[in-house]
Amino acid sequence: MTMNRLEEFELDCVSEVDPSFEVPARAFLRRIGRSRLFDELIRPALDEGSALVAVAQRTRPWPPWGIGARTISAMEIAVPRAEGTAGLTSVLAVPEEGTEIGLLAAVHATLLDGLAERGVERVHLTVREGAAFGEWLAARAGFERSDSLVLTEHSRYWLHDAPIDEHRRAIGIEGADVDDLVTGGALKDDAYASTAMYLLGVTQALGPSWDEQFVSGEIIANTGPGMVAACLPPGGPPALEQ
Amino acid sequence: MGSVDIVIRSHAKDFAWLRHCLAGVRRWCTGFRQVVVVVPGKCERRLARYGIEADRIVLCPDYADDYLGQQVTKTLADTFTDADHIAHLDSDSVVRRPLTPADLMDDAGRPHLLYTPGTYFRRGAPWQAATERFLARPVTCDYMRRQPLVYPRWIYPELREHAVRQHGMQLAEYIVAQPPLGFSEFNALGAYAHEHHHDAFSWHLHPSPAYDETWTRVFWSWAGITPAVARELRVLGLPSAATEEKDAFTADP
Repeated sequence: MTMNRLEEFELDCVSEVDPSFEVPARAFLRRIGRSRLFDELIRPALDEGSALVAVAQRTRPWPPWGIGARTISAMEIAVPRAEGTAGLTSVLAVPEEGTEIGLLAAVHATLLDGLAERGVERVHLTVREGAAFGEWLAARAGFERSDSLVLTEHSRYWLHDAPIDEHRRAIGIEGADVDDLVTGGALKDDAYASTAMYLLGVTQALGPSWDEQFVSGEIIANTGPGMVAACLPPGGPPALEQ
Repeated sequence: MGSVDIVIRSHAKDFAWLRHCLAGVRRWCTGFRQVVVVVPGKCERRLARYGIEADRIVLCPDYADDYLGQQVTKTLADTFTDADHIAHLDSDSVVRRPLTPADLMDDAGRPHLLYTPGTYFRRGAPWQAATERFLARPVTCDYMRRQPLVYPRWIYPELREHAVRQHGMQLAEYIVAQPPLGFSEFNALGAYAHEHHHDAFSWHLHPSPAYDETWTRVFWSWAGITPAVARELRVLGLPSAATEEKDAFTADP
């Protein structure tokens, strides 16, 4: 049967776990070698209501219901989602779609749209202090370092955040229609370069975190509260001891 | 006879089909008051991309499973139009000869309804169990035999009231709670009408050589627009694709 990319993929946001999401999500994560993310991140985050997941999925032509009816090709998780802000991650994708920038951008835009509809105004990346690529990438994506800190056993990470619209503008998808992104019509020249750089860069920088190599991750998923600055002592976080 | 609107419940996945459906309506249908296209809200942004235009576009709720969702929408058709009669047409049905409201009703203004006894089917009426469960009585026929299907607007609230009375819940809730293939909106309407309002319709045993069923070519959208289907759609859209060519397309999908 003939089908174009637009008819092939359905882009949606998911905010709760049900079988129609769990089965294809688990299959997708298994395919890309990151099965642990479902039980260790997606399910608990969705269950506590602090996450939003955008997916690009295909539906079996017939029957469109039942186990195996849906296949996820790409996914991005926003976590946590609280107090008008949300942490972004990378767009995960099956290998054959890994460089389909239009599809990846459509998933990212769907997530941003979904967050905005739920009252989220600012989004952020969690970037390791002093990480040359991570900080450069965040700045190129419109983010500025905030005073919110995440400390791991090994590193200091700062939330780099921006209003959603500013982030969209910075990566070249301002005003872009999701359908135009899927078909590849929305990203031309500089916009394509900016979007590709951001999406592939975050994928690369977040890879170690997804693979549990926390020591070296330049960008990690923010699995703590959205804005941690309010919890810090007066005067801000203590300086890093050398 | 009163006013008759054509109501088409569609979805973005079917917009390629819907274009052909609407082209057939524009070409062959006259005397209908309006063509109303109903789509889930999330599909709205794709209407322009596919050049979908109708007298009215109505947005309905998004459903997690739109196979059931489209059935819910059809049982609410009277809430999308104030026409006296509603002619349901699916996106993957293409009208292929002149069609007026008078073709769909008898001289007394009663909608023609086709029914086929279960004995005509190798395994009984296809939706028998689902329709019996909803109506809570034996059902022996199938009522989804032709497009468009026409019902008077007053029957929809009655069907919804039946759901509340019989099942203690709104019809929409009942439908989305059913298992796959657990409800058939047109069989529910048809079987309900057959039992409770027999004299308000003009009933026709189907198949019957006396009854012309060639108004529409009913495709099967789930199979996609294959090269063979695309060829057929092209022919249907040609100026020469008139009634006299109907014999080329008499095979069921």
